[in-house]
Amino acid sequence: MHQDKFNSLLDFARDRGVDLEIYYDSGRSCSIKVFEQVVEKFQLSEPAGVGLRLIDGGRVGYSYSEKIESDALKHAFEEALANAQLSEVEKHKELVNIAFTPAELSTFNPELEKVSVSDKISVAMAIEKSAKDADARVKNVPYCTFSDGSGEVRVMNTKGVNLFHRSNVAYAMGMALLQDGEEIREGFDYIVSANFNELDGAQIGRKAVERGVAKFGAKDVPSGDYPVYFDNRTAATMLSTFASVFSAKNVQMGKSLMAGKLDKEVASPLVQIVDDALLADGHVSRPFDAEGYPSSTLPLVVDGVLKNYLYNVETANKEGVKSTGHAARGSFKSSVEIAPSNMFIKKGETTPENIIAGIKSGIKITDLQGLHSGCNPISGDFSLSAQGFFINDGKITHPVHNFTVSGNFIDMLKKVTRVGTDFEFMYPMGPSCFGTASLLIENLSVAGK
Amino acid sequence: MLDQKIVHDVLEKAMSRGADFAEIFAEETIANSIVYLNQRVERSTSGVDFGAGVRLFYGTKSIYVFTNDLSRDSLMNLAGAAAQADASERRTAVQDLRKLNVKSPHIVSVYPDTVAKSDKVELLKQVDRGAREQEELIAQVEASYADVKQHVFIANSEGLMVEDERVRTRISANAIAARGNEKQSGYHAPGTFGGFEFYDKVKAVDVGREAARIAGVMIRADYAPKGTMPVIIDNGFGGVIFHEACGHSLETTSVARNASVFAGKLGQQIASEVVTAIDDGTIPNEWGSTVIDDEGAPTQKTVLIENGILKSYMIDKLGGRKVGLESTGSGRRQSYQFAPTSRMRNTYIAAGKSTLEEMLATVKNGLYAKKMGGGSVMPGTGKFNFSVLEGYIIENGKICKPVRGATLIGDGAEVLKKIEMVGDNLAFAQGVCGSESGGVPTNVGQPAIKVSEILVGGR
Repeated sequence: MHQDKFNSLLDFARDRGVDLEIYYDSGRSCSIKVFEQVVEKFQLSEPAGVGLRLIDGGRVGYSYSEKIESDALKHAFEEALANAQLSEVEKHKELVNIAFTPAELSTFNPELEKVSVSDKISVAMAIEKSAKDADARVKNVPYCTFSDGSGEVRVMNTKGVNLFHRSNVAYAMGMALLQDGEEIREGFDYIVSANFNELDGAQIGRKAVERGVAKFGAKDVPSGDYPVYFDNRTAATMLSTFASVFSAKNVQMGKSLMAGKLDKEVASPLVQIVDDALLADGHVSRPFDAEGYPSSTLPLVVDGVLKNYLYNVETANKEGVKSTGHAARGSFKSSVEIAPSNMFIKKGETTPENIIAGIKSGIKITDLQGLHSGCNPISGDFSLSAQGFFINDGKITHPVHNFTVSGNFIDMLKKVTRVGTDFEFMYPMGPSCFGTASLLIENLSVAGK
Repeated sequence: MLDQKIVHDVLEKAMSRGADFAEIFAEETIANSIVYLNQRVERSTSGVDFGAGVRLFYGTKSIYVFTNDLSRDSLMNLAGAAAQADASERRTAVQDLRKLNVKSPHIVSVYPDTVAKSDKVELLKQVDRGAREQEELIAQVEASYADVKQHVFIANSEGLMVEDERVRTRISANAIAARGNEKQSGYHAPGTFGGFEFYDKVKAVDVGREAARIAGVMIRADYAPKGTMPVIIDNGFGGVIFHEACGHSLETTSVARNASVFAGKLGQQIASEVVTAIDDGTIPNEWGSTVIDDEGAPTQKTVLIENGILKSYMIDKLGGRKVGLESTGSGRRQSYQFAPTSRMRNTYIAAGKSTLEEMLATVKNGLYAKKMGGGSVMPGTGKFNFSVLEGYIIENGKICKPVRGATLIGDGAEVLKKIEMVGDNLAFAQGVCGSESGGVPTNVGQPAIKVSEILVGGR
């Protein structure tokens, strides 16, 4: 809608002999929070903004504006130019300069845009109602939300790139607090989909309660090394926490434990890790990245061997390789960095039931806490507070809590002995979305009683 | 910033389905920031935030919508969408808008947007130089500079229409000292509600020196002892404990939900008699000051605790409706992308009569926390855990060797009762407080205080 203004800004930059990239991000979002069957919070927003990146004789400058008028854009250009003068000359920075036909992806569902506000509110209300009806021990449902949003991205530059993409998605989430005597437990569940009919609030409420109820009567675990079985959501959480090890920028800065491991074994042969920005039905699929480079389906780990890193143009130029199309911006205000798209561990061949049946004495983990402070993405070390279930002779015997599980991410990947058939993607986190099936780890250190 | 007729129409549209209050908040903010790391400019960015939010009340229910498009059509659509979110039988009329002129007591002599970027980089070079001159073990210095000019327009259905301009600038130093495999950091980050003239008074080179001084002391320090002991927390950033463990519990955001230990305690003794605590938005050119809050109400000096007795909460409009009290001009928000809620401004424990020497003289064995670091508080309970950035052992009334790794563990409401002495050296420190309505600039502050006993976690 602002294309004419952007085109004249690009002309303006060409006249000044400067390379310019325009990143335009706009969207619509609706978020609803229900408590005690009343809409406690209702927010609608239509944010939009432009981020400029320019390269003037090897110096890079950024600026942004939420005011999208010709004068404001020219002002932003002058600001970016002035910012560039402060920075050092870097020969590896350049704008995308290739012509391609973007892949056609069905990431926008027009039906979602037609859903009425009252239907959205009913989803959030259904979560709370079904949770309360599900079990008398439900104390309250402090977190009941529905949100949806659409986003449009346009990337244009003075080298001729002009790309457009849009997507939308909806989420519903619920957290139930349960109390039985002195024992207080929580259960959480969510659904993410661009198809409104799949957002079954009642199901979320029931499952959240189920997860909470299952934790009643939890016991401590004796410390020791155990086979540890991560359910699909906790395994995906681990992947999301350590995904930055695949960034070429971190590798180049000496901040990744994957540095120097290309074509070497970094995981069990059962482990296949892919980053697929073109995935059909992927929550964050996109035909091009934040600098307008074509997206790819990128195998990162094949049969346990590291095959690739995630690159943007700058990091690719440093090594004389091609970008993999993983440039990302947190928003139009941020600089161009690197981030995964749909990153996942491919599903395996053993059903969760058979995995559990094969465990003599072990722990299934369903909740992890302290991911920010308890994980060091540079060293790969983790030590996390966890909850889950004890497994004895191939059967789940009782819930367990008050323990920490610790190890090292690479070591853990190498010790994967089963990959489940129960694949699932988590909810999107910025430009990235992580998924995996459940994973059985041969052993990890558990500190309990 | 917005046309009066359009504003009136938007407010009417917003209230067309029975809301009893409507408000529009528009903003244009120019921001600049520069990060200088390892003696080169790591990042320099600048930009414009521009948008408006419309808020509606149906009693104590609130609806918030925002957009970047300030055209009449866009704002009318937005107001219509907000109105659709709820309905009531009540009809409240929009009062005629009267432009309120506010006079700012805060002086801005040099607008930061008129200063060359190279002059700002020069400040950062001085920070770096100061740090390296101060301490030979400094291995890395990250210096950063930021300024912001926020223009706001606020109008509401009660007839208020007001504009305001807020100018702030801040500089920070993070210095890391290294020896062998060990690293210790020091931090100092002064700022002002004012212009570039601030750097005539606060010298960039001293900012670097202070950060490096702390890092230098701590790299040579032993580990702190642990156990319950008397603690003297010195002035300035020491006020962060009151801010986090007591201040947030005095905001109507938490009082109205009954999530505060201070709910229902107005008029009661909640602290020892030597404690008077104030949240003051009126102090000239102080970082957390404002002329009007983000709901258009004039800012105030609010006495929270007087001689130990709880006198007032910090109250915004919606919170005021919920607890049945008048606003204290405490409605704040990061930007138009947030609905406002009750927030702190310059929050401090008022100066007492004791000198630091008098306080030290009363302690046989204890801890002197010269500078506090970050920490966390369990919401609702007020239980806190804060690290001591620069700490020393007190022995027989004297400050002795420096110690590292100390944490103060306690409970906000209990510590208030254990404050035995309050010093005469009130000072402020600047921060950005994050909460429901985003990050807002706030000052923490206090004179030195002596707490009779507090659990010190060490190694």
